[in-house]
Amino acid sequence: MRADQTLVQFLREEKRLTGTHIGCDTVSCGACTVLLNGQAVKSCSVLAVQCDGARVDTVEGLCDQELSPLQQAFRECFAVQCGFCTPGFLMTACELMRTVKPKSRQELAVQLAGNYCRCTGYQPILDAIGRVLALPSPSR
Amino acid sequence: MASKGSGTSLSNPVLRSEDRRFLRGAGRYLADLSFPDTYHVAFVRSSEAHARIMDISTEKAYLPGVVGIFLAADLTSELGEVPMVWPVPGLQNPGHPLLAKETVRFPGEPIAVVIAADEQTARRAAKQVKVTYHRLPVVANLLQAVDRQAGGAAVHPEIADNIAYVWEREFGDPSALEKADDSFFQRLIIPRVAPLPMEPRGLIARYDREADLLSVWASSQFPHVLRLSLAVVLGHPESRIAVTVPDVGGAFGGKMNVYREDLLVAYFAKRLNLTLRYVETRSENFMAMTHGRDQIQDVRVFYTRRGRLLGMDVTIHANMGAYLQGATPGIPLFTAQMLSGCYRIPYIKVRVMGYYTNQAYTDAYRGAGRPEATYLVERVIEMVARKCGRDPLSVRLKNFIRRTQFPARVVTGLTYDSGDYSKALKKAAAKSGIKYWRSEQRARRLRGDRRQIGIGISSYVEFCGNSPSSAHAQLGLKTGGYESAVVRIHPTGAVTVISGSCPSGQGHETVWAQLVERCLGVAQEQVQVVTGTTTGTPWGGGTYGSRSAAVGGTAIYQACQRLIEKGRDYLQHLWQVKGEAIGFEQGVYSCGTRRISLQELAPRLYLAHDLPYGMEPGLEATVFFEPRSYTYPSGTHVCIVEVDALTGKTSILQYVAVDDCGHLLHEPIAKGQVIGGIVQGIGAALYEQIVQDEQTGQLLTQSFRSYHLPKAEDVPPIVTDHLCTPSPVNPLGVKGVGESGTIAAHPAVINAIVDALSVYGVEHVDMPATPEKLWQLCQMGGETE
Repeated sequence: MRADQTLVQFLREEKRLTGTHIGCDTVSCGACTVLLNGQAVKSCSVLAVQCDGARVDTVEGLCDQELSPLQQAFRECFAVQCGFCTPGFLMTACELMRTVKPKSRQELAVQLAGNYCRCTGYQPILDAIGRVLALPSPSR
Repeated sequence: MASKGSGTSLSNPVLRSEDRRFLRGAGRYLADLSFPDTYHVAFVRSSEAHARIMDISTEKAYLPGVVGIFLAADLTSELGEVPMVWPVPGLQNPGHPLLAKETVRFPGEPIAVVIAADEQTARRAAKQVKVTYHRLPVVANLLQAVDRQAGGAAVHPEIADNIAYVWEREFGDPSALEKADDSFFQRLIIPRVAPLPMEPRGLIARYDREADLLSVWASSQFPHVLRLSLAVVLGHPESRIAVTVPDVGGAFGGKMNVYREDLLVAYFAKRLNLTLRYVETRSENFMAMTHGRDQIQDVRVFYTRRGRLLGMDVTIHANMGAYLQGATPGIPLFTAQMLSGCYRIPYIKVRVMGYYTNQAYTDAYRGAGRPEATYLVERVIEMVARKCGRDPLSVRLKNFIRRTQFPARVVTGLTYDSGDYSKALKKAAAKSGIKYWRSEQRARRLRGDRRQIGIGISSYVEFCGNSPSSAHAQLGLKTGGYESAVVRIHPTGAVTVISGSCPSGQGHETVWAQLVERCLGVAQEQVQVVTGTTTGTPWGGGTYGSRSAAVGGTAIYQACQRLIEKGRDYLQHLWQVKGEAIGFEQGVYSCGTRRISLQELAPRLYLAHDLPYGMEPGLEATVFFEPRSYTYPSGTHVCIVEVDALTGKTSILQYVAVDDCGHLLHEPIAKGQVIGGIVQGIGAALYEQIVQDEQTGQLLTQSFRSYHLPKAEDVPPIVTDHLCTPSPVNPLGVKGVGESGTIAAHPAVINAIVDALSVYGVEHVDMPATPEKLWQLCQMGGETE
């Protein structure tokens, strides 16, 4: 392993886990979000060697056959368009569901500030995660 | 057709088949593809906006693993330039070389190609190439070009005034202006923005010398156009180039182009007989993907005191950038032809002036010229209402093309297919509770609240269904506008549908399978959708201009109809009955008590033992659908904002969109396009702008840190609704929906902000309406009061 190899490079190049994407070079977009010991991190900002002995969860590990309730909610809410940002949102949502548990849609939106999407306008993503968190849906 | 049938509605939608792979991280984007023995490409890019190259030293760049470093002089002279297909009459085209030779003309312009065994080495080596520049005076933005502020700087020495072309038209009857009570002048500035798909661009090329086959994988909106361009520029037989487009992580027009990088990677793959891979960084994406918009519109408006819009004299200054990409010169012509908006305007005079600047090339970005037109018209109608002291809703109603007037020919020469503009407006007004917001607005104004309410209306019409090829001819665009489809029923009854459209997130796989199911009665699960490949497919135009449903969808529909007819012809012979006696419903032919499905016919047609004389065996059809006219989606959006005069911050409290895009093929997908489009429009209206330093031309916005992409918390709740006036120009009655949200959103937001700040005497604010800008306007307004 190269000393300067980032976690996302390691996952993609060494492990061939290409579900974790690279959308920027400034630790902004969140397409590379994974769980590091249960915590959502941007895997472009962590060196692979720093993760020695740590548990890393990627989008590929979210389900076996059937989609998880979170993934199913994304599908049913049409929260996916091009799909490039989707794995990052899923991983961030995993952490939010377990730890932060936002109480409102607004709080959820603020928590998602580190994940960018250019296709969906975020609304269906908020719908999907909001559904799993059982947040009140906005009046339409 | 269309919105009837199962699975299309919001309550019981067909889920997207694509999502199964995307949600598992099993999507395959360009960067996910891997090939053995791949070498990596990095580009040495200009750090200057405008400079003469004095020296290029590659000495320190030959790191271990570097295979080669190539400069402009190393390219063979037979190699062509970047293709441009829109030679507007009178265009001064300086050409578009693949690598800068003596001069660099925009920040990020490629100077050298570095090829290495791995990506890191290639990028590191590129940084070690030392370029010595002699800086030249810059034209750092459009305003400098228009106002000749650049101190005589010329982007191309042979074009001293930086003017690429002037295109003028006078539409309608100038005597209409005699009835005008008054006129006013307004300058509107539409900033340069970036498409920014989440997946940057990339290309992989490999060459098989034995077969003389050049195989290319690219993140592109149009594989066939890329193949054609590679054939022409590289001088390689088109039949021996295979282009494959994997999953595309968003495009928005930015991947509707063939770039230097694409051509160079393919060229060197062939020349060096190597597999080459290039994936741009986000910084490179900011620098070297096409940008959008960037117009300065000077408008004189003629109107009556009663709020009738009689005429406009418009000069559109349009920024080309330093070089011309595929459609760069033509995008502002789209603006010109949509200047009548939803209205009956008797006279429009328009002059489009294209300018070269030391900036990246512009080209189509979601809406391509139509957002600029809608912005102009909807700002103008709002100003007319204000000057006449009338309600902006009633002024719109007064000027609208009426429902009974369709097909409606507007003064710019287009014939709008169908619409009901008043109904959409009234529906949007009712849905957004305008009366409530007006009273809230009054109350806050009376009490001098620091948070003022603004109501912004935007009634838009745009053209989709790109396009009748004759319309291209009229505008000087050297491409056809049709789309192809192949529908093939295999001997087992399974179906393959090949479409020339090429998805970048719109859900084609789902919608095309659904369309075939509805036409042929074959379960979607048995329909394989093929897109994004030039191998074994007819020419395809690609996905842009909201054309997939209206043009690509119609091609599929017509191919299905041909198969149904062929089956009927065969049964006529088999059953010895007249064709009109044979019904076809949900995939099954019937005549009296006899029944047989189309799928059951398939093996018989391939067996061909009992075909009537002259009938070809097999069951497949290829259609090239050429639309006879554009389609014209329309609608009204209403945006309610709250602007804090003490901070200048805008909050969107509510956004209602009522759209008419004809029949919907898939309602939730259409809704997703509208909402996603609106958010891109809101982004441009409030936050986004590509900025270069006015003195040095340095690009100041080259990452997500300096360019504000809308985030989840920036997005208001968006309520959508639709009405449907089916398009008469295609059998599906569909219009297109990919860009309408963006087109409508800019003026909806800006009209709302101006309405809110009208208490401070504000009459206009240019995009992006940043807090700083609004705060200053409030301060100045407060002082004059």
